[in-house]
Amino acid sequence: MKGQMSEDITYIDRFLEGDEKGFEMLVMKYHNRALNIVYSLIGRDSESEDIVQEAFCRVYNGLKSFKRSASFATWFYRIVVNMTYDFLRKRRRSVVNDNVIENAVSDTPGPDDLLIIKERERIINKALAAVPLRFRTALVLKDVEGLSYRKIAEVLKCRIGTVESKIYRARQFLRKEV
Amino acid sequence: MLEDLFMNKCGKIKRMFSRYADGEASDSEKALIIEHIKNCDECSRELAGIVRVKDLVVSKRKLAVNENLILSRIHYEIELRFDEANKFSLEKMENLSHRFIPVPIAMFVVSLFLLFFVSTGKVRSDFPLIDDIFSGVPASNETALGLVLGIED
Repeated sequence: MKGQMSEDITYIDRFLEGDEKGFEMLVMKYHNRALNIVYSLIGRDSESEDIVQEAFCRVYNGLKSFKRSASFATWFYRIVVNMTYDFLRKRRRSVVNDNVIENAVSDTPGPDDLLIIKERERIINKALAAVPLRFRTALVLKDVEGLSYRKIAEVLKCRIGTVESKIYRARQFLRKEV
Repeated sequence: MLEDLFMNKCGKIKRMFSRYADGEASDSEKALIIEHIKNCDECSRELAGIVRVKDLVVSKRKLAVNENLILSRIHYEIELRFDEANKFSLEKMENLSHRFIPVPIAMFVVSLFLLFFVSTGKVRSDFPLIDDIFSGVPASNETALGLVLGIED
């Protein structure tokens, strides 16, 4: 984790010295991760891409004011999560649309597996959508992005015990749904 | 009574299930959980269920978008905003200039008018002689006014 942090700091320093490559490296590293977090939270692929793109635009403008007391990843995920909340607040809906999932951009599997995968995805996404957002976010950060409880607590600005409880509650909801 | 104690213990153990499934439980917690589920079918089932849903979400298909495509999109968006921001600031400056340039002009006109009004009816002899100025004596406002207006007899 420390290696990752110093890598991010190197990219940030490069960017702040005027080398655009630094920013590009951050995009390369974090784009798909952020995309999967947002997609798991809202269930819409094209809108997820828009949110992540917007988040990177904010990062581009805000890197100068980035305080290095927190890691870049924590700061960035917080931006992504807040922007997703804003999106959901504006849309006032987070129900997963099956057609959207079918159009999801993904690694292309073989034709035989496609139906099974689609059905599986439909079930997972539908179940995730049924989990209240306040629990879902912690779960997604854990199971989709693989963050530690401590990191999730930093992103969500809450205690580790709260994160644990949120994840537990989210899994209880999921158990009922699948 | 014994059953209540057992249920209470189940509650405490269950709260650790997510931590256990996520590999964040300490060795002592792990040992406690393993020991408990040996004798408690309900907790054993719940733990199995939690591990199952965790595996399900972890195995969720990951989206992957071509990074180069994304980079070009983000750069395009940033440049677009930069242009808009510049355009906006120019427009803002233009608005400000439209709003504020008349103010100094009006002040200048009013000053001229006042100067003319004050000096009306006065002739050069009404002001101290120019020699007074070169004498080293500090010039009064009236002297300065007379010089500026250049009023002749």
